[in-house]
Amino acid sequence: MKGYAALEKILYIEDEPDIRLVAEIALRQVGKLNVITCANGEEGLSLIHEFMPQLIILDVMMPGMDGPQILSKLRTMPEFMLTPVIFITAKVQPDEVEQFKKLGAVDVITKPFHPMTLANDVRAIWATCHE
Amino acid sequence: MKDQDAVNDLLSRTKAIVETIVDGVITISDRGLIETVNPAAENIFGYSLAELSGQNVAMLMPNPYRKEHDGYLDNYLSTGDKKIIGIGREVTGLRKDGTTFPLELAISEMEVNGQRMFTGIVRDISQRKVTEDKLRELFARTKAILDTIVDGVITISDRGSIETVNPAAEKIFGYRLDEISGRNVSMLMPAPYRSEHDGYLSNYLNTGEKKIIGIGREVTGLRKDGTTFPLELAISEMEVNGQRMFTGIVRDISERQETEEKLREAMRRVHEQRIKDEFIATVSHELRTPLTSIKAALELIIGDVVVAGSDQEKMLISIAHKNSDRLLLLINDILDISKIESEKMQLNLKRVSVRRFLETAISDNQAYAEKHHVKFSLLRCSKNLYIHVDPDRLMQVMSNLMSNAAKFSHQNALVEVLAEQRAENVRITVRDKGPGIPLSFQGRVFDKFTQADTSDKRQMSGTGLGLHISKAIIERHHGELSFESVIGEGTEFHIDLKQQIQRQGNQ
Repeated sequence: MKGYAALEKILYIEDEPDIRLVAEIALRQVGKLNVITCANGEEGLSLIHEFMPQLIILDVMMPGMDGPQILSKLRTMPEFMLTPVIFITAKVQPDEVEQFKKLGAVDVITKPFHPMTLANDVRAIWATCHE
Repeated sequence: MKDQDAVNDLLSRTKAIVETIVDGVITISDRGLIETVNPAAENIFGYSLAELSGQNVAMLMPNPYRKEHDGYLDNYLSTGDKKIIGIGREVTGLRKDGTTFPLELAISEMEVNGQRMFTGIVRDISQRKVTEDKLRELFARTKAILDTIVDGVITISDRGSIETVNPAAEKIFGYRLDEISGRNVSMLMPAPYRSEHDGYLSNYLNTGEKKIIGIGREVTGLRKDGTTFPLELAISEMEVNGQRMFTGIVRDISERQETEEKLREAMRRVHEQRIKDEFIATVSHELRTPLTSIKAALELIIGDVVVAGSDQEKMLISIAHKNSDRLLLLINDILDISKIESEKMQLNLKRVSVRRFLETAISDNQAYAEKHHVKFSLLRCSKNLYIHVDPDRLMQVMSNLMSNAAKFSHQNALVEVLAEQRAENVRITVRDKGPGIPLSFQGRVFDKFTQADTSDKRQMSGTGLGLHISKAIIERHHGELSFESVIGEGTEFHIDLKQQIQRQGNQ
């Protein structure tokens, strides 16, 4: 018996429409998760209160608000101050990954990701947040 | 009696002079015994006349001079060899209190009533000695400083001739003082500074306008061996005995400049490496993005996540296909960038009719028009315009400009293409009536991997390299790629290329 809630609701913000589509299939159909995807930070933040995700996945490089900017915005919102955030990025140099972790993300998933295991990878990260 | 009065008068005058002058006057007999001393002499040695009278004058000298004195006198009297008589010189005196002091002594010989006598005039020069010693020490210090400092110090007259140089200046220029003393200082400068120097100096002397005096600056020096070197020069002006002189302090800064140059070179290399690293990181990011879609779509199909033959499967195949194209475009663009940066882009130059070229451009890029629901139109172009270009490369630029114009146009809008003669050039223009380029982005339009921030996904499908490559291609043709953009009205890109004048029989 786990001492914390199972992961069900994820918000994923990604500006690349094709990646959004494949990630949705990976998380929803393979991972049986309740996922909402958005194209940008403004859209994501507009529906976050209604959806109340347990975990948020953010692309790093996006026009308008980028991933790190959305993260700092979330940290000012009382309801999402402690919500785990994962960065998903094609910026994969070790120093870049280290930099993203320092910004307060619980983990970084690099692109290309594995659609068949993406949901399990996210669940594993969710578990480490509750150790 | 009158004669007696005159004698008395002369006597009292002489007495008054002897008693009041500041120099001590001592008379001695030919046996060296003191006969008279004046008050100044009493004062100088601290004895009264009574104490000195009849004593050997050697008592006023410390050893070893005391012993030598009798010898001198005897020698003179027996041989007539004047060692000290009639010659002023510096000796040492001995006061009553036992202290010694420097004194200047002048001895003269006289005969009074057939008796040979000697008069010594003595002057206490202790004070003068102290001042002299101080000056000598000051001079020695100054000389030591000038001899040992690493900066070269050169003094020149107001006519520009070298008066002194210190050892450092000798070393810096490779000359000895005797080789350059009295010569014009401009010999230490290479042309053209040499000829300018006399102008500076006479200009300053005539107008008082200080161009270089009091201001340190970097100039070029000329060594004896003919080599030149960078030096830092500070000139100051001074007056010595009413004569205007200039002092130049020179410092050889070759080493410093070499170090600075090395530092700049190292920093340039670090900067280049950083740009290269950033480029590779960006390329990696740009390649991974379409690859992520391709790989995920295919893995989902292979993993039987979607039903075979379903719309969802078709959509995933289409994603993989579309992103493969994008990956290919990106790789081609990166190869072009690599060619541009290593200056290996070859041009296959041909004489090209502008009109025919633009007609081809419009038909070849029709797919962009259809994709973005716009119409390309050749607005105007004279039949007689020719350019000397690589048609494939110029077509690559046209495709880039036309696809951009199509992407940023409203549906059913017209994208106009035109060419016109402008002096010796041909200007090709691609004009859209889109939203215009945001001011904040205009300065970065031609940078690598840049795209204006926009929420319209349709506009984000490029590689961000197109305009950078286009500009490089046009510049490789010695032409120019520029743009004019008005927010809300549209954008025009201009290609300016040199017109090729038509020659007969060369079509």
